[in-house]
Amino acid sequence: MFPGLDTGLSAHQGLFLNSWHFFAVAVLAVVCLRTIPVRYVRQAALMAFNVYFLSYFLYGWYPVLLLAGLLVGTYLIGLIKLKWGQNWPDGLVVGLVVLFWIFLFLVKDPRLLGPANPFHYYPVQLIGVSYLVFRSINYVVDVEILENRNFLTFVNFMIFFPTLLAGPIERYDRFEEFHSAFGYQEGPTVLPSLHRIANGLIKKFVLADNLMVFGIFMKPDQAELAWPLIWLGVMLQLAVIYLDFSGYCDLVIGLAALMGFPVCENFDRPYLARNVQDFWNRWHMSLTGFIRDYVFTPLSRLVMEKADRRRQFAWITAVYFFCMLLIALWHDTTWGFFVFGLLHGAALVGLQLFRKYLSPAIGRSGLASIRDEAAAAWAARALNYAFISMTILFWYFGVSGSLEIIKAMVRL
Amino acid sequence: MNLKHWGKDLAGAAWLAVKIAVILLLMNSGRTFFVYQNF
Repeated sequence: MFPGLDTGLSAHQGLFLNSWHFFAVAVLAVVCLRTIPVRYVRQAALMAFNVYFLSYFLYGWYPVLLLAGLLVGTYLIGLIKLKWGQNWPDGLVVGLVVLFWIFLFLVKDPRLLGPANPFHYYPVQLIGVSYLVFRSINYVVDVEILENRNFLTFVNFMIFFPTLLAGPIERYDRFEEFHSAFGYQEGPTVLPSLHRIANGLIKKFVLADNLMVFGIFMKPDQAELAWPLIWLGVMLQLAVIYLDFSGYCDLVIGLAALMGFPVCENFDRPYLARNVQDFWNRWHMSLTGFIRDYVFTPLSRLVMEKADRRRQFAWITAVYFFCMLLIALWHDTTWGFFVFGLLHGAALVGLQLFRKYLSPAIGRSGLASIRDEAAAAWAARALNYAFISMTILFWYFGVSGSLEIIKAMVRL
Repeated sequence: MNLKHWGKDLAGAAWLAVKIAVILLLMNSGRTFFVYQNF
């Protein structure tokens, strides 16, 4: 198991996505959702599959009660918001979103705030909690413009089993459209979806899991390794994580498409990214899109409306930085992720400063000629890849462990 | 046209069979990253 990712689950718990058990559940789910013509029966069947899958990840009554509380609480807030209509103050929406974020941080890290944290004495492992909280935010913020807000649709959206563990982060309006339709076919048909699933299984279980042993995760004393091996391990880990995560997403997207739910894409060849901003537009796109729509855009709008014109750029840059920090801490509330967020935020701020001050100095045509140069493009990609790989160390090894590895890499 | 369509599907199915064989032969079933993480 990776350092820092020990969530207390043993290898015998959960439902493995590469097991025959999961295969049987998936086949049954596809057959049911494609053949039951009566809408409510089909939706109830989906609920049964969702609950069955979820049951393998809930241990004891405590997480069940917490999940039930989150589902009922979110749904009730949506109902109250609808009832209040125009009288619902905007400030309350902001307050609720902040509360959801605080709830997420407190659940994920029971040590946060010490005894003041309600989960301090009763820590709880709620699978996919980061995704559940995002779905709650999506529902509460957009409830007025959503259709079919019945409880069955809502619960199926919240715990839709293909995307339960790690996304992609689907939006309610899109989910609901396919939840109501029967035999909906958008884009991929059966054979392309099966290819997508097979590609996902190869990327995740054949390539990533076999390459993992060459990465730096599995070495207990990374800094003691020979210099070229450290570089190889560190540079390989981003590729392994990409294969792992995008392989998982291929599996999920293929399965969901077979079930009649085309799920949004999550990756767009991130290894081709030339800078940090480009990277986040290609990596975990559903997360970046969520933060853009529910944090960056409202805050930017606020800045444009309230801030002095001369200070708008500084404020927008600060918003970029804040969003990057949120993205990092959404993964986990450790110092390692905090530093990861700081580094990515700083890189993003640097990019904005470059665009504002240096680009005009170089000139549009000068910049375009550099950008069109193939060698410059590949150098930018390689540098960006190296930067992301180095910063990902902070996910796994914390601040001091990562600094030790980086020191060994540059032979300090 | 129809024959071409069938040929394409058949080639796709054969390619899928190769992929499945690769998965079954080379899959490392020791770990599943996403089951362990607490995202």
